[in-house]
Amino acid sequence: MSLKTLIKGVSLWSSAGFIHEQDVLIGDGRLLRIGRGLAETNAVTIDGRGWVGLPGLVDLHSHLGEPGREDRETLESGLLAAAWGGFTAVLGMPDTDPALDSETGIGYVLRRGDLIRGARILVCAAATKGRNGKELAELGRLQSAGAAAAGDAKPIRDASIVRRILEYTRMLDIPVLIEARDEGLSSGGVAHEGIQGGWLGLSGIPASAEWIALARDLLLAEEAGGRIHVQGVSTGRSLALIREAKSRGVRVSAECSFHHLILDDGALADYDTAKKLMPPLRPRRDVEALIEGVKEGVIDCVVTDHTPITPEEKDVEFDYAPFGAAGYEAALVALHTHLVRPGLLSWSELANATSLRPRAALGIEQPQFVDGERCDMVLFNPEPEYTLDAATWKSKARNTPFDGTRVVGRVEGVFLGDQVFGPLETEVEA
Amino acid sequence: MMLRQKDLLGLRSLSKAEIELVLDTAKPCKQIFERPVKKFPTLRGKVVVNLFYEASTRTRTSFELAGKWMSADVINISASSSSVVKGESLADTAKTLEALGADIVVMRHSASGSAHLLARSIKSRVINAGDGRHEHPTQGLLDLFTIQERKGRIEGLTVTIIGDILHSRVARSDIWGLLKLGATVRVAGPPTLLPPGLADWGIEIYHDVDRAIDGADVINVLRIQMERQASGLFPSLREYSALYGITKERLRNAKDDVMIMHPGPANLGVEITQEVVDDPRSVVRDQVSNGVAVRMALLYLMSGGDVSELENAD
Repeated sequence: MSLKTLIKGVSLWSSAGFIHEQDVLIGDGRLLRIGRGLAETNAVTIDGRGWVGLPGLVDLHSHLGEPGREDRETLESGLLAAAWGGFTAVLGMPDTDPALDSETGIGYVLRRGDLIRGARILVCAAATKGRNGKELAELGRLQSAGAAAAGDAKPIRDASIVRRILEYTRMLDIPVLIEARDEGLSSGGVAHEGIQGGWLGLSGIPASAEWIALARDLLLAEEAGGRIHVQGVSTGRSLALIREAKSRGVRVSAECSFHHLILDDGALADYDTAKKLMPPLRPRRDVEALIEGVKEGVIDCVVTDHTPITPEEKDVEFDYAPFGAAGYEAALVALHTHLVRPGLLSWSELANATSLRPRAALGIEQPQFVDGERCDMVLFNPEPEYTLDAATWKSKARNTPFDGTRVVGRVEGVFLGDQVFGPLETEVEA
Repeated sequence: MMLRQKDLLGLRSLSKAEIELVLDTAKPCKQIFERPVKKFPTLRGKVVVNLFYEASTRTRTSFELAGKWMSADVINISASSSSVVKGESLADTAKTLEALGADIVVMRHSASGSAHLLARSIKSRVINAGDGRHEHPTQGLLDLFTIQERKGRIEGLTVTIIGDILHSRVARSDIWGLLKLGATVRVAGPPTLLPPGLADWGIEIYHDVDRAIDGADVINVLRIQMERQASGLFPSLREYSALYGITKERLRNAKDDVMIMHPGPANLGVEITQEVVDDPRSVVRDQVSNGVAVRMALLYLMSGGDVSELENAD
């Protein structure tokens, strides 16, 4: 018989708020009992005083290298990294090679995911064939094959195609993920168009590239119906557009990456390509507006936009480096260090944006902290202060702007069914 | 007094005192032009590598001469941008140069920030000889030196920079240097060729070149790149020339003792006429000689030299 685990003194968060100093008895992949002063002889006891227990995080925006770019990340390394970062489910984007526009491709990823130790994988199907932005993919069949969302993971230039996708998916009731970016305005750009980029001599991506595409797609969603989920919101003014669409009853949800809640374009002064992101880092006033947007709920979800890229690809001139940063093992720690700890974001606001609302967007059930419930929990220790070292990551990628920076807090353990991840992995069983 | 940083990547990161140190050091260096034997022994045994990813005659020759007159071993490498395609990365090339014992690597590259990448890849000291549209600090220093030489000062002068500021590394280095030394800076150009956020740089912006010239002590005319027209930033060279070209005619509105600069090579008849380049108020040729002096000074300072030593040398 397997050993049980008893974690003592954790503060458990739920949508109703915190309940402090809870002991959690775990066995057979379930939360057997939760309460104060629990004792159990046949259990490994862990001192969890000061730790925060959250429902497992869900990432709505993940780029995994498999199939096609296994040099960047495999499902095995990516899903393990996600779990170590506190994520128990991630939504994989279809920008693989080949694109996830077929039942075979989606079936492959989902079945591979089932066999792998790590976070659960969900799949966003390509909305158009081969992500060509021209012909609808077989979205009905792809949904039957298990796709949880549809989107091309890149802008679709032709408004009539966006409209058709939104119309067609009304009968499927799945979210349509859009990248709001006018490529006529953004092409050739590598940084936000503003004073910082001007000083650094980097080609600009104006904020209007986002506003124009976002306004277009929100109007299309209003006209066509369907559920639209806006990926990678990066400017303060976009919030007004989303807020207004929501007030008109458009079924819209929105996300921004955790990088855009922490870093501004001033961080580019050293030309570190780990900070070359799409959308680009924006000025501080946008960062502040986005934080407000998360608190208010206009931004429903905070995502990692996990984009693993090899050092060979990133260690080049800023202009030539691919966009993106790996986020799984940086996100929660960085959000805690830079937002929760300084009081800019509460644990509740963070948990809503990374756990509750992403599940709502995908229509999956929110785990509860009640006796008998299957484990889906992350334990975070807000105390330890250390230098983040991406070389220790489970992810194959190292491309993070936070590498070598001081951070506070650590994911101690993630319990997902009968699997345990994190430093606790070697000590306990679920 | 020494330069604080390992590398010279731009004038934005230099202090006023450091800029003045380079200018002061360049003065004795310039005297070498008067000498029958143009050689200082100061950099004997040092290896200076000129790594040029972009074609350049003026800057490369200037650095080569500066290194040779200081007795350094100078190696020139013309790495076409296609070496990126061939698979050797900049960081890789840099490691090779370091292994060959380069003390100072001078680099010209088409990508902004590439000098930063080089500097953090190797222990050798790096001099940025122009990175994309970011900075061209040695051009900025030689421009400052030339203004100071002719005008006796920089503080309090009004300097007008005309043309494609958006794509100009020379303009950025000039602007930082001039602001740090207390000049008033004006820029003039069509709005499509001015960088975003320029209004917050602490300079004056003009679209009417005649007004920008009026009362200026110095006019610096930038080269207009032909490919900017192809990318639709202005309609035609003749329109650019009509609106912004510096002609003798246009200079009638300028101060009598206005000083005219151009970083070269000029598109004669487009942004500036031959007549203006040859005008006594033009310092275009001085800029070239001063470039060598300023680069000698930099190589010297970056090899750990002290200015007083140089003044006593014979």
